[in-house]
Amino acid sequence: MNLLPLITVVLPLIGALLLLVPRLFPYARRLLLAIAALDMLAVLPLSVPRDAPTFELGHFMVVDATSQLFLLLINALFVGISLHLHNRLRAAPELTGDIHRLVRLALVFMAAANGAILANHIVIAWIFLEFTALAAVPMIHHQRRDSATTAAWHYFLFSAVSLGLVLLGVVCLTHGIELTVGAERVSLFHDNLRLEVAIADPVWRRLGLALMIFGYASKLGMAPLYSWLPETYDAASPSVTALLAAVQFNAVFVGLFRTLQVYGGNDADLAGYQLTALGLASMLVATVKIVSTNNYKLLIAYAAINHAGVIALGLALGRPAAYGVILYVVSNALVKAILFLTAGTIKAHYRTKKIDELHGMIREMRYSALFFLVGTFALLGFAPFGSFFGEVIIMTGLITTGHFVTFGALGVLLSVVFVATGRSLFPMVWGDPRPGAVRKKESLVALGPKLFYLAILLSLGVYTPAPLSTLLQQVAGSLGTR
Amino acid sequence: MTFLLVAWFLALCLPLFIRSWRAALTGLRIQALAMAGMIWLHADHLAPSPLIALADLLLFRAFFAPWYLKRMATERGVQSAFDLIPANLFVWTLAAVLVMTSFGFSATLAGEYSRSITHLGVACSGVLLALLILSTQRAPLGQAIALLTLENSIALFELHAHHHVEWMAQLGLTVVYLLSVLTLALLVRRLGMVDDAPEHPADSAIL
Repeated sequence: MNLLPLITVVLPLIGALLLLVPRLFPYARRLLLAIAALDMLAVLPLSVPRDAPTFELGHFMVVDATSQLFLLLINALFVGISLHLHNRLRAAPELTGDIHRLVRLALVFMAAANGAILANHIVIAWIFLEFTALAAVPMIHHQRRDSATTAAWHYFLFSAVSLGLVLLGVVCLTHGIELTVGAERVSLFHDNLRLEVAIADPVWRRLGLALMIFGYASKLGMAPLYSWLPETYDAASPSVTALLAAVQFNAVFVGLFRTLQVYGGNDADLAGYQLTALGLASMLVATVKIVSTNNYKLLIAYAAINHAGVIALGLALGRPAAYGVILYVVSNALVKAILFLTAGTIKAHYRTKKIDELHGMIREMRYSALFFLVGTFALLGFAPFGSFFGEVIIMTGLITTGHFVTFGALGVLLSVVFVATGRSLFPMVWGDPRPGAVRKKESLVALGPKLFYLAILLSLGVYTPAPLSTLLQQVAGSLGTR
Repeated sequence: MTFLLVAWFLALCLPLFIRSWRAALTGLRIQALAMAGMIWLHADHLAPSPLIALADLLLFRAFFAPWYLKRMATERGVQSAFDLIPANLFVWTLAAVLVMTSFGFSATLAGEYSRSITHLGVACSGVLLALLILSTQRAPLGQAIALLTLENSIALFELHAHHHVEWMAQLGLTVVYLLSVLTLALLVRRLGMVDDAPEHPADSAIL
């Protein structure tokens, strides 16, 4: 029995339990860093590509290409976020306060996210996703400001409704299977579900799929239930925002991806129409908001909704765009982590989130400005970043499958976002700095996590190492049959 | 069985017309007790999974969640007059349309099984009315009641299927419900019970 998958879940939980001991509170940030590093060490050997999936813990956990890739991604992101938090607290000890509570919750959040990705049981995966949301709520209003508490409340409401709809979809699918194979023979393990879905009652099966897609899409921040996302990302602290935008987003994406894997080619028409509609609606809403906002953190949040829309459009196509979708999802997670962490550093220095109040950042915060600039390039899908190639593959998929109207709409919306984002963010970097501004010293250690993310982002576009490339291809190959 | 479904349905609909948060909490209590009755009547023998579901319904959904919210509302001196949905003909008509749509939809889903039509119709009505309350309610207490109604409706949907999930999964579902109630209560306490959720300009922290 391979214990490594279990360790990735249990280790952060042990860390969280240790932080119940008051004597260990002062070591919270070091413990966070140690657990993140150890978890990453456990994930590395798990990520070696293999020919067939292996099942652990009585079939409840699966190590396949999907779990390998996303486990590697979210744990790498977690190491960076932990390092950012560690550096931030070292630079500003006055923020330490009751940081042990935030660290404890972050560790529980991470254990649940790892569990959601590794789970081979549809209900248990759902339970782990709920745990990520329940751990995220107190993290969002950690500093107990009214705006953060309101955002946490809205996050909780939307999350409960979204995941409730997913559970309802699972119940419908279960009933559809039960009608054809009998209640005793129903199995909710992902690998068994693939076989059962094909013979399930079509009405219940389709209803289940529609509810699950809508629920997961809402949890990813897609329209129409998107309003929680900008509010939450704006009100939460940068490290918590990065956890939500990069780690939780991917855990939820795996839920959606597993659903599509389980359905195989069944009801691909329904999934295609629904994902296209949700994707285009999300992109439209995000574009309008990006054009009108004067808050750089909100702008990145709306860009995240826009990206979720692109991902939905890619998923709607099935296999022709699958590689592009996976590449885009991985790149997107790194871009969001870079931008939200940099936005936090900028906010800490300038004490404002207003775009029109910031000029000449390159003179005051050279490295943060550079990261912001490069992150914006990646956000907009410039070459040579992975997001560029992901977008190109998705667009090629739209053309080769004859979705010309969707292609046209995507092209127009991306162009507007391109112009609006560039027009808003680039003047923040260039121009004259504030009168009397002094250049801020930025240590290399503090920039470490963002450098690390940037290196991976570039590598996804320029040269992808063979094991990672194999994983990406295996994950893409597991989607649909079209 | 049918009378338990009728009880569940009445516990869902009556609080919409009675101007009291106590009635809404009692409605939640009756819904949970009715579902516990359904499990009891259905079960040939109580396997671990239905047993956990029964304990969840009796301990947490019928007792703990309504009691905890009631305690908080009483502590804060919330007035008993409380509308779950706006008291006007338009919203009442909308609620009636949602109920009729639910039963029409369930007739399509259930085919010739009349018992299933009632069960699915009641569960669908619960989901849609919970979403109606959630979309019209501004007070955190009302939104919390809507969320618990949604949870109960999903649980009623689950009872329609004969398959029981593994006991570990059932236990996980119970823990999720309990933690959700505690999180709900924590946030409702912070936000206030009946005031509109405050709309402050967001001001992010710097960690």
